Amino acid sequence: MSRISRLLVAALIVVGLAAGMSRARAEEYRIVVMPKVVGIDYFNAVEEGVIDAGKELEGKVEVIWMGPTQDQVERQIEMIDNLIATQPHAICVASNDNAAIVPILRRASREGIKVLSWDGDADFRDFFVNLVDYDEFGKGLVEALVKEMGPEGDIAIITTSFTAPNQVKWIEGIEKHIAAAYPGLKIVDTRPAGENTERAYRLTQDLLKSMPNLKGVIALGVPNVPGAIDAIKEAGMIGKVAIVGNATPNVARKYLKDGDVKSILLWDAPAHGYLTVYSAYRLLTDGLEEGVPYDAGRMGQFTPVKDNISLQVSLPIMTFTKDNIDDFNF
Amino acid sequence: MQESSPVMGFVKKHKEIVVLLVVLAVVLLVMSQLSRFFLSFRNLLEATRLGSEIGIIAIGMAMVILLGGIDLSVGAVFAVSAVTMGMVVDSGSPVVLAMAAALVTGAVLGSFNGLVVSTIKIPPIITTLGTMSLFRGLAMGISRGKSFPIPEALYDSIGGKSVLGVPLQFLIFLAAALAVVFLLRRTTLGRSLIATGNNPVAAMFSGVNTRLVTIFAYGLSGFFCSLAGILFACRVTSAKADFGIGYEMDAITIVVLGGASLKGGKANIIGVALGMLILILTRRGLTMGLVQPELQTVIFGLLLIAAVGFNALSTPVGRGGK
Repeated sequence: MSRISRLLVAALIVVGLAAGMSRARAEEYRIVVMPKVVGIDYFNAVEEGVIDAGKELEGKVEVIWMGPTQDQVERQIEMIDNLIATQPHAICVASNDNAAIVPILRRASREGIKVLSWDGDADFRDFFVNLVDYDEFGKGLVEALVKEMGPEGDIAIITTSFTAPNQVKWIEGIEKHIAAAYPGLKIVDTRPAGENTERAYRLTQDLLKSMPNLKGVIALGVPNVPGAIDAIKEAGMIGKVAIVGNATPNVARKYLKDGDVKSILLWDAPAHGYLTVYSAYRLLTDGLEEGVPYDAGRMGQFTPVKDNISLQVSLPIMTFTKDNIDDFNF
Repeated sequence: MQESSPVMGFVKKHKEIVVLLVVLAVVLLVMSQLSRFFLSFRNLLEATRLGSEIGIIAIGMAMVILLGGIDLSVGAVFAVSAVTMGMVVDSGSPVVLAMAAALVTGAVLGSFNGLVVSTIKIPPIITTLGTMSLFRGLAMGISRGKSFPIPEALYDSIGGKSVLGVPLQFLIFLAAALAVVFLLRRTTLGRSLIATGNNPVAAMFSGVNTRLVTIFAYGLSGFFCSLAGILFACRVTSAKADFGIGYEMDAITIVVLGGASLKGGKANIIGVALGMLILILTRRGLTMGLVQPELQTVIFGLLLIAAVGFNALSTPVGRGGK
């Protein structure tokens, strides 16, 4: 008997845990937002924005934040498969694999569910809430660097790899902006450090030794930024060799506060969650069209642009400095 | 005391299945309370599409566990097979050839596990821990991390296919389960497997080639992994080297839930089928009920301990020690 009662206790725990869950109300749009993985700082920050948007749209939208505990596409597919059965109105996924996610999104679409991608794109979707625009981001990095070192001189780039899509396109953006605005800037070297702080450190050391005229470094890839800064700092070159890069606030905080680096560029993670929910809501209500601005709450207006799959918008660039860095936690 | 009679053995086996059926019923009951969409025939059937892929791997795992072994490399073999198929298709070869190549690859890699375990006598958990990483590296190496497209026609004909409303994957799972039941009950090879699992020394002295039996069991596990890998690739219309990470835990969970002892000597294929349904329906129900995944893993851990604990408590003391 005690065995059966134990089983019943387990069952009761399950029921009890679920009792607090909210139920769908018919008039609300139910919007699923799925990160690449749950339980890490970055996506916890995105979730805050998702919850914020959900509160602002209370009564009109019910947001459901659900993602896998490992950043694997097969877990996302299973989860979407399971959630399709609950008939949500929209599914917004930060896909771990742009190709493998396609069939399940097609199926969702066939069942009348709007599908959006954010962060990690999918080869099939109604709408994409992108990270920052590649060219804009490249331009932003160049401008931040010029602000420190002036419009002329030799610069080098530490990147992750020559195939990583984000970095490749950012470097294209950097080159485009230099060609258009700063003919005096010269990229003398571009080196791949993977996503490895130690390797970025050694590569930057090499650059400093081999290129005495170096005036600036752009470090791409969140783990690479601290490595590059450390190398410049240890060589006593802070102030002589300017550095900018892309990193998360939690990685950059110490360096910004110590004055080793003046500006670090990225985007605001909570804003990504917020914009994703608003975009899904507008897509469900008014529909989204190319070139027609839509309102995204406190973030203002966004205008969808056409891409080779459907439509997308991009996040604004966020520049972290010692003055604003404590407003962010991811 | 005397060993239990065949009749007693049957009753005992029966009892395990009854327990699993009760657990399954509780799962259905609880989940239907969590989401009003859960308890529909279509929903339950659709769940088996995903579950059957892991279930097929679990059948192979059950063969290895029957021998007192373990196969941690299943997820990696799954990936190598999917990538092999993707690459062969991508090269312009016929799909059937690509599938055959994947199945052969899986069987060969699995047999390699068996060879190392039986010949060099490295404990299975260490051998397959090594090959888990080795095979994963192989998948990454041959594919160079690239994703290979699988023709969408294969989604329609296999990946998303249903026959009379039943997902094709589930039918293949049932066929595989039946084939293994037949193997174990009706063939010399199957009896050799059971004999080796019960007592390898005694089996060897009664003329069983235990080395060959071991290679066969691991090879079968590899074969089933690639079958699952092929089905998965057809379902997601792509193949990539990082597929199937962590699948070994799902497969082992299903087999243990199904009543197997990690000490070997037991294989319960009906238990595997019920274990698969319990695992996949629990995950589906909890997700449909919007229970967060972190909590899901906790709940599933409790469920596993409850089910296995029930079996352990109901096993008479002094038996099952093997």
